[in-house]
Parts: sequence; C-alpha cells; structure tokens
Amino acid sequence: MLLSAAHALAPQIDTRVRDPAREREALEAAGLWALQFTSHVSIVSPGSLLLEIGGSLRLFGGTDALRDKVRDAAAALGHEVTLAAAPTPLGAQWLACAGFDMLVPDRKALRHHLERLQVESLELRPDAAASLDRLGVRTLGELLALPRDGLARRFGQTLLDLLDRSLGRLPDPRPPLIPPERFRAGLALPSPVAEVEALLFAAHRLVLQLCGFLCGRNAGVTRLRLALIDENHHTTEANISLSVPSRDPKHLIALLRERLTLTLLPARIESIVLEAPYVAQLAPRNFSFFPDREQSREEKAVLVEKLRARLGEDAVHGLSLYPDARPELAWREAEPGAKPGDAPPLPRPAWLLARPRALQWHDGQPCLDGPLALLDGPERIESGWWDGNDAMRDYFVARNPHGATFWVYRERTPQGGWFLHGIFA
Amino acid sequence: MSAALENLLQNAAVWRGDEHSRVSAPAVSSGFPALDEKLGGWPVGALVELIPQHEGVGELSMLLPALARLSREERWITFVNPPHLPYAPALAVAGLNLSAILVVRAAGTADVLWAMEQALRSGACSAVLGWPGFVTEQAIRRLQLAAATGAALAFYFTAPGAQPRNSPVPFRLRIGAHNGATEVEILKRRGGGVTAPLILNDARVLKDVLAVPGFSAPADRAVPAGRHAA
Repeated sequence: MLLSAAHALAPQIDTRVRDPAREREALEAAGLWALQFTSHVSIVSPGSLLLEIGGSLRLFGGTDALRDKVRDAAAALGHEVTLAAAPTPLGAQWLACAGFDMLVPDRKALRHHLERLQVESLELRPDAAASLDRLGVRTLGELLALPRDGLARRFGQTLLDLLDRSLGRLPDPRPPLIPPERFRAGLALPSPVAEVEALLFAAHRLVLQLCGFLCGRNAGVTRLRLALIDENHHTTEANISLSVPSRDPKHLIALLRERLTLTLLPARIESIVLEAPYVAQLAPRNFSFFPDREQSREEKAVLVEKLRARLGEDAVHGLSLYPDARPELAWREAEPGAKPGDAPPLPRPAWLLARPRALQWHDGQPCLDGPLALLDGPERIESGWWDGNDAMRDYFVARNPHGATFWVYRERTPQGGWFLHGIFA
Repeated sequence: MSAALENLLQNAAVWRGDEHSRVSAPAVSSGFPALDEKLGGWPVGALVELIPQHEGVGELSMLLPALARLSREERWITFVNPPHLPYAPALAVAGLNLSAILVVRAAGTADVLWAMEQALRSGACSAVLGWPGFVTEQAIRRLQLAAATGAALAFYFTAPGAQPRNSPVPFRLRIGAHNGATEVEILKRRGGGVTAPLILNDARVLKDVLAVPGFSAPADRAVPAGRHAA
C-alpha cells in the first residue's frame, strides 16, 4: 500500500521509516539473549532466530515447557514471537515465517505441514517464482509432487537441495552465533523521558538481554554501566559494581533503581546503553554439605551492594584492628568481612569519639554533666613522635554523678587540658 | 475441677491468661541471667526500643555478649548510623568477631530507616542496631515487619534521656546506671508487664577488662611505644 493511500484511509496514522540496521541490531541482541536456552543459536535475516533445542529438552522439561518459557521470556523482552519447532531448521523457519505457531514432532508430520505452505514461503528468486506461478504450482505440496528430474532441469539443483534440506533428506548445518567477550546493547526510547520508572522499564529489557547472554556463558557481571543519552547528546553514566558476580535480573534492576534515583538527569533521555565491560565466570555451585553457607555469603554481599548503591561506596564499611598505641589509630575502616587482626586486652570504651572533645575542669577535676570521678588510670600513652602526630596523654576511666562512664585523658603538654575520647556505652 | 470445665479447657479457642508469660518465642540469650529470666533472652524477629537515660551507662555493652555469640554466624551484625565510632578494639575484647560487623553511615532519618529495613529484611543480618533519631509509628511497623521477615535481633536507640512514648514497638527497655552498674527497666514486653529494675553487674566492657590480670597496675605504667617509651 502506498503511504498516500494509507493516509487517505486513516488520517491519524503515525508512520515511521523502517530502519534495517536497527532491526539487525535488535535481532542480534535477541540472539544473544536466546543463548540461555541453547548453546546453538543462529540468526536468519531479516527476522528469524534458529535455536537448536534437541540438547535442551531435558533441562527445560520437554518441548512444551521450553516453548512456554521462550514465549514468556520473549514477551518480557518486548518481542512478539511466532514459535515453530520442527525436525529441520528450514522446516521450522518456513512454518514460523508463514505464521504457524506449532510443534512438529517428526518428519512425517513435518512433510504434511510443509505441503500446505504457499511457495512464497520459500523466498525463491523472482524468475523462478514467476515460472512456478505459470505452471500453476501454488503450494509446496504441488511442488513436491512434480518429477525431480524435471524440476532439476528447469530450476537447477539448488531448488531440489533446498527442498531436501527442509525435509531432512540433506544435512543442514548452521553457523552458530559466537557470543562476544563483553556485552553492550542499546535502546532508543519511543519518546524522551525524565522519570526514573520509565527509564527502569526500558533498562529492564536490556538487563533481561544481558542476563540471557550471561546465562548462555555461565557467567555473571561484576560491573555494569548504564549510559543515558539525553536530548542534547550529553551522556550521563550510572555505574554499579558488585562484589560477587551476578546474573539475577531482579538484583541488577534493584541496584540500577537505587543508583538512578540518586542520579541527576540534566535533560530528558532519548536512548540508553547498557554495558558490561567485564564478564566473570560464575563458580558452579557445589552440592555442599552445608548448603546454606554459600547462599548466605551471597546474601551478605547483596546487602552490602544494595546499601552502597543508595548511600554511596564509602557509607558502608567493616572494622579491623591496627597495631598502633594511639587509640584513634588502633582501628581502621575495612572492606566488609575483612580479617580483623588481634586486639590487646586493654580497657577500651565501646564508643570512640571521632574527635576528642575538650572538657571543662575545676580545681584540676574534669567535668562532664557534673564532676568526673577518676576510677582507673592513668594509662600513659606516648606515641607517634615519628609521624608528627605526637600523642602524650594520660588516660583515665571516669564517672559522672549520673553514673555515666567515660574515657578521658589529660594532655601532658605545657598547656595541658582534659579531653573526652570515649564512652563506655 | 468439674468435667464440664475440663472439657471447656480442652477447646483450643480457650486462652488461659496464666500461660501468657510462658509463650516461647525464638530468642538469643542476653548473657545476663537476670535479664534472660524476665525477657526470655533477646527476641529474634521483634523490634526492641532502647532508651538510655544518659550516654555511657552500658547501653551498648549490655548487648555485646549476645552479639559476640551471633558474630560467629555467617551473617552481618549491622550498626546503622551509630552516634560515635564503634570502637573496634573494645568490640574485639568483648569477644566479637569483627569481620561480621558492618557499619553503615546514612545522612537523614529516612535513609537510616531505609538502611535498617533493608538490613533487617535481607536475612543476611543476625542483628541490626540503629540510631534513627525520631521514629514514627508507621516506621516502627515497617521495621517490625522487616525484623520478623529476616529473623534478626532488631534494636533501635532513642536519643539519651528521651521520654518513653506510646508506640506499637513490642519491647521497650530503659537503661540507666545504679552504683556504677547498668540498670535495666523493662517498660514493655510480650506476655508481661513492667518489671522492677534489674541490675546487670558486669555489663560494661570495662568490667571484663578490669578482670584482666595486670590491668590495675600502678599509676606510672606506660604503654611502650618504640624507643621513645616513657
């Protein structure tokens, strides 16, 4: 139909120019995604994917179950698919392209179904198609009924080979899709958006593609980059790093959500690109004697990532000990779960003040909500002369009239002074 | 007892008040027999509000024996927005495995509550301690639900000296000091009312350490620090 005719019929129609390059891109992306169902995927332009499923049936619980799974997953990805399964790749391809959504169990049934196809399904050269038309051959069944030698003379061996491959009389090997080392997929949004939820909806598709790709490679990602390209062609990036490789779409989306809610978007976003620069092998999970242990380790890592995604990398840390006599340096922030080191058994308060607080004193007695009684001490700490942060202090355990107990020190410098350094909370 | 009454008591729908306080819920021993007797240990999956009358009365130390035991598990003990630095040497001396500790800094009350909820809900924490500032009733309900989901010990601290408010939190304890020991009042608990204040004699990290031989050394004892030792 001409565009002008279409406009005449439906004036409100919205037309788009078909973009073969983008179609090809989308097909390739879907091919990578399909690797989660079988290791052998091949792409047939312009719009078909061939999946060798003979080796996957047991894993997925049979043809029906696998078909449902593929259909659901494709729908989640935003694709509408016609699924045909047949004993030969060409048979499946022709049936699907002709719109037959079916499972063909064997070659006999396949021949029966193929015979009903129109010859257009074969996508022959125009001259061959025209001469078949002149012969009055409309269906594949009529074509197959013609004598083979006559067909070979008229149309060459290629047509015979094509028919033989479709029926399984000739082998039909297909080049498998080789997945790239890294993942990169983009998506142009139908209209520019600024809302996080809309962006996440689009990103969800890319994440599903990524997870299918990872599944096929038995791998996970430890780094993820979402590039948001806005109307002014400016790119805003949201980066996520994980401590344990993951390919769980829910987890990845949750991390993206936290990160995106924090990201300031300068303008409305037109397209997004998801990249996974590093892909890490997932260790196969062993049937361990203590199955919970591995899982809880993963849960622990997931929590840390979730907290960091929203609060920032530095907002979450662990604790470790450090051999330094100065109390403020006797510990360090550490990566969560790091080996802590050993602590000397000294009286130390559960809280340390980030910065010692100067105390008032009367007649040489320090005060904090009343006069402080010194219960224990002094513990003399002299250290740090070598790095310029000298500490010359006498530490005491002190208690005020309310019964609160503190860790205070007196500077052993000419100006002196009392300081609160810790709380026995 | 008459047969009719006996029959009635067999009915599952009949609830007997005298059994109420003996409801057994999962709990972790606090390490203090007096407290365990009244509270049945720290309740797993139930929110506990702690009101310190002042800072420094042992409000954190009273949790450490239970936390020390939990720190051997393959789960986090998470401090969300602590008012000061949780001091690693003290925690280690109290027996905590430091590699189980997670410290989370969050800027506002909303983020603190969010982080607490995530930590509680995740199932990856054996205990979560939070200092959220002000907590609304709605937040308490959310935290309570998250705690029950993740089966964690859940504590939040009010500001020191805060007045106890009426709220849906299942456990509320006030912590003070009495003659230098930590004193705990149970203001609210499941299956029981207010108790007389309990004295926890050896709550503070300090007391454990004071028992270490050689600690109460003469006043001129110095910590050697290389050649410059005094």
